[in-house]
Amino acid sequence: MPDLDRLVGEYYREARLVDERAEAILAGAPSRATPARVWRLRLAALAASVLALAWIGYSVSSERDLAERVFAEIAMNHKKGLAAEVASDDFAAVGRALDRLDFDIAEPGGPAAGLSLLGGRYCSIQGRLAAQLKLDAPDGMRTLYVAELTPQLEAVVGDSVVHDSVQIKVWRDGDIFFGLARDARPADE
Amino acid sequence: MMGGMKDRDLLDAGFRYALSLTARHQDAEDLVQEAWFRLHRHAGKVSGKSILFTTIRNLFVDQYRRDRLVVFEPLDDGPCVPAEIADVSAAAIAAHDLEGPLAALRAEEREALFLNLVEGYSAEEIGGLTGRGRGTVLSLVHRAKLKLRRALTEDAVA
Repeated sequence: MPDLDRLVGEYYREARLVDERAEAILAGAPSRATPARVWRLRLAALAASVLALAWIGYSVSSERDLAERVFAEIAMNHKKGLAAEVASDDFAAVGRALDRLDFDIAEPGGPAAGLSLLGGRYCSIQGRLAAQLKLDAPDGMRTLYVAELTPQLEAVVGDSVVHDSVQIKVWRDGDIFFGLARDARPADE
Repeated sequence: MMGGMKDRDLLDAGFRYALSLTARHQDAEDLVQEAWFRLHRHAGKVSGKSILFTTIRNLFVDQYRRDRLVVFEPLDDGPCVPAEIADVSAAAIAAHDLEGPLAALRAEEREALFLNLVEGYSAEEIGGLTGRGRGTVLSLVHRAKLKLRRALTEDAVA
């Protein structure tokens, strides 16, 4: 299929507003805001600011709930111990096999640096595909979650907790979210 | 107008960009109208394609941003083996056949593809407009093409 670029170009270049709609938009464009409108906008902005302050107070407690949900899901999936769908010790090879992901799989840093890869499988976060990697360490198996960073996940990064007997560390590297899970030890509690 | 572009041409350019974001003609019409009106309210005119695209993008992000519950759920649809992409005769495919496959892409993939192939922006320029890194933009374009090829191949085989 050598002409995909040309086909995409043609598809979009052929697209144009129907004349009636274009004329209606050009004829109906409003004039610049009048002072009265500006004042109304300023009042609306003030009201929005008050609401925003109230929302900040609410969202602080919501973030705590969100973190709880994320950690609960990570712990639950770690305990399931599902087998890898792609067995390989090469991060790039697993990334190529999981080719429905919208990001690349590279050797992780942070708490997962230096751990040996056993394989990976798909999982999903917020309805988006993510990777669930099995890592081997001298003191036991780890599960590493890799996903595109979302504002919700961003609010969780930097935490390290023990949830339901699973020790979890989450961090980010650029636009990628990482969550590393292992069985907790008494010293972790 | 700027750079010799007439208002109608500017409007069509904005419509095409909005179409790349929404994938739906009606939504794209509404989006470009709202952006056009907003710029007129604020500045009394639409001074160029760049500000029109930025306004369209901001409106799109505002309208379509959704806070969704974080859910981890392993997928049990089996391993995903990269599909072999059969060679398909270009003559069998027309531009309008792309509508469905394009709509199936993620908005950011369509946007990156559009800005690259239609507007001729470099990955760096697209990154500047969309707030993404150059590598991410290249990856989006690559994946969008891969998905389109796969969809068109499947359609042709079917």
